[in-house]
Amino acid sequence: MSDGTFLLSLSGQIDYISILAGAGSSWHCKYEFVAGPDWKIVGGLEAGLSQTANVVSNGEDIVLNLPIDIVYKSTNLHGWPQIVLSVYSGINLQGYGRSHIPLQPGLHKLNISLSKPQPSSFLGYLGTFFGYQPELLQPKMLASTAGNNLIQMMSSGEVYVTINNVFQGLNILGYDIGRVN
Amino acid sequence: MAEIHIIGQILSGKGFPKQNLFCKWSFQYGNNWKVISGRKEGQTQVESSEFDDNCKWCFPIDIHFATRGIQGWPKIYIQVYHLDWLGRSQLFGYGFLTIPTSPGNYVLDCFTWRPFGSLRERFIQFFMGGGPQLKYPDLVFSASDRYKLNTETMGIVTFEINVILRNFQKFGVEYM
Amino acid sequence: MAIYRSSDDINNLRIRVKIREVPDESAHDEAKEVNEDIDGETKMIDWQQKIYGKFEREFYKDKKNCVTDLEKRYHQDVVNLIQNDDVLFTYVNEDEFSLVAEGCVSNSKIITELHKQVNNVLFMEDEQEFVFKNTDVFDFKESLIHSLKNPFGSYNFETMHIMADLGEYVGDTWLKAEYILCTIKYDRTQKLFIVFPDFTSFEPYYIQIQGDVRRIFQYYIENASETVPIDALLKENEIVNKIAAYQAKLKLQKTGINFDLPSKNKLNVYLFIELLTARKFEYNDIYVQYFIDLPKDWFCKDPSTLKGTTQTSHSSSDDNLSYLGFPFEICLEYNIQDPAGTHLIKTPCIYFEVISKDSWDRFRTEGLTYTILPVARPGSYRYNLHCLRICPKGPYSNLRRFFIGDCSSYNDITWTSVPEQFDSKVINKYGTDTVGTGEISIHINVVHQSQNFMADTRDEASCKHDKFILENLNKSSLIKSIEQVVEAFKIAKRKMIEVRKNV
Repeated sequence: MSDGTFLLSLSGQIDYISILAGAGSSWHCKYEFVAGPDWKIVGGLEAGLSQTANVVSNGEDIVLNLPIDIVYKSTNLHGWPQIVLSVYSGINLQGYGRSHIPLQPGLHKLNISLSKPQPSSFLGYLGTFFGYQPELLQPKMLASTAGNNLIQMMSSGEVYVTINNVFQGLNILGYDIGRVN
Repeated sequence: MAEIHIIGQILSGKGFPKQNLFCKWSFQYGNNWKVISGRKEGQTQVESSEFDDNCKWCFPIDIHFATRGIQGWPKIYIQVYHLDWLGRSQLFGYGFLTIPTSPGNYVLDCFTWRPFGSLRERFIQFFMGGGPQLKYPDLVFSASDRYKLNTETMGIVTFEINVILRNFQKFGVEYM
Repeated sequence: MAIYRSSDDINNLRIRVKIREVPDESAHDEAKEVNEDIDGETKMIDWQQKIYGKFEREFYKDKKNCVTDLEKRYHQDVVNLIQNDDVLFTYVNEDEFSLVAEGCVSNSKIITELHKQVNNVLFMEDEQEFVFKNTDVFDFKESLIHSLKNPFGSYNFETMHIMADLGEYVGDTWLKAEYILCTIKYDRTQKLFIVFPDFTSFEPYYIQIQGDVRRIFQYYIENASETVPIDALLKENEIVNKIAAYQAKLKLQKTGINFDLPSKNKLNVYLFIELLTARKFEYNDIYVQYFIDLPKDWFCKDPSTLKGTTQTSHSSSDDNLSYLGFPFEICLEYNIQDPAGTHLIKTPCIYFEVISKDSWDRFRTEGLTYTILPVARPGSYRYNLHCLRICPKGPYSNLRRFFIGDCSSYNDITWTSVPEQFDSKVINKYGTDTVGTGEISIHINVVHQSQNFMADTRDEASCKHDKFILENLNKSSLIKSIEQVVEAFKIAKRKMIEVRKNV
């Protein structure tokens, strides 16, 4: 690999969602990967949608075990891939979450906090009484470092994700990612 | 020329007196340093939590520096604000975080404070909101002038930061 | 299942399928003999190439069955076709052949609605990177257009099934038994194709048909697309390299190739210190003064950075926890080539004094502490320093501290460690009363830089993580200086010999 590129291979799964879930509700989750312009997907899927998981008793974890598998190729560390999650209950949004993919090889257990947007106008506030839940047009925008102009969010829960990542050719390029523990 | 990548996130803010917080952040660095790509400043969304006083911003940071010297190693300067129900923002804290000098993954706490006004100012602040802000925020950066300040302890902002270094060893730099 | 991505045109995709009936070992011998003569069947299949199965041929032959345009076209094809007994055939995208197994059928209404929503949104060609594109201003309109253009994760697949009709004649009628050998899905916009099951590598796939007689078929699916010619590959590589070189050049233009180096035989130690918190001190509104004491052989270019004062911090919590959040940066220099060369390095110390200041401007010393700076090894350190203060003697001093405040009631802050002008054998602090007070926490990052490190990092990169400063300096500077002398001597000698020869 002398052409200045390196590979990042990710595999893992979205294990479960820990959120206030009432009995009888059904949940699903979608994920998408966001990476910088120098990053190219060479294998796997950059987005996915889970099955619908039903909650039987109050407050239990929503187990999804949705597999993730993607291989990136890049010349630049900038724009390191991030995973963006959107969790829905029925067709109502319950939260967005994002996280960088760990920068150290090995097995990682991430826990990604979710938050959902709050209405910013009075009309929107009124709408919440009728079950209106504001959503983002582009959940990907959470992964950009651009300002997101005072969106108001409320923490809602956590998603547990297991990720196994392998690098190839990063050390040859002279990058030192530190001791791996 | 050596390079450093700082990739991570502003995880959360806790211990602040109120919820509905947002955080303005910017990188401070010496004049040896140049940003190659990535944003060096930004602002998080307004976050609140129903159950605890932990505002989880999870705001991404991804920046790439090149440098000609070690002096002026980057720091993150943050300002935490509270947005009240009238849409006014109120200063809740200044803070500084030095980027670690060895590569790896870190979870770091940044301790924040805000100017502590006189009794009269505090009285007004209690009823009206607002509060003193620094007229010259440069005061925060200079170690020599800080003693003039009177501050009040605020909350903790937690960062998760990955540092990746490149080519530093070429120039005889030992960091680990 | 395998997912592939290729920027190439999908029409270049070509798949070779080989199917063969294999004898069933467990079955009777007679069955074996019958099957032996079947050599198997091989077909090259292009993307969306229609091959008619036995049943389809029969079906489309009859004009009565053909109603739609597509069926009429098939009829034309079939009529012109030569009859054969091939078992392999395909279903292409237009056939609208769908499997029940594909995408589990859900009876809940929610998923169908969601499905519809996801599927109904427009899907356009260009996939643009939105997030990292002109991120300065959030443009609602642009965002809206973009989200319509790229709805989340909706793949628009064209499908193709490679099938085998492994039916049998019962009397005169052909009983069809269609089996999917392979399903290929392709998304034109994302250049993504999914092969299920994946191309065979060594072991073939098997199909088992349970009937009166058990029949087993094995088949191979192979990627038979034409490979890219080698000169095109080379050309592509060249272009990639050119781009990489150009990018590197751009980077260099921004910063230049230089890097600040300390002068020879100097070790630069950069310290990035953060005063984090102070807690459990008696009075509120405290500030911390720090002071770094440099022993012999250590220098600092800017001595004003060696001491400083934090802001005054007010705390409202129970144990007087105050956040200081005070970062500072110091660059120390150490002269390696010491004439003696043998003595141990004395390490510098940092001293802290915590002072409280109340609203009447009364100052009280709250605590003294010190730590040795971790200059021996670069890295990141965190300290929790416990403080003490000198007890005032007698009631008068106590009253003084309470009413007027006491500050700097000692002469030398270095007293807390080993005093500066100390050279006796036993350290004796007896006779001084102290009381433990609060604690402060600090964070120190240490980086070393020296030209002596430059050469030897390459060859021993493996053990670099466990080197200490002394070892380093010994190895690199002292030995190297001897080696340099020897080397210089050798060169001089060689020159001398040459000169002599010439004479």
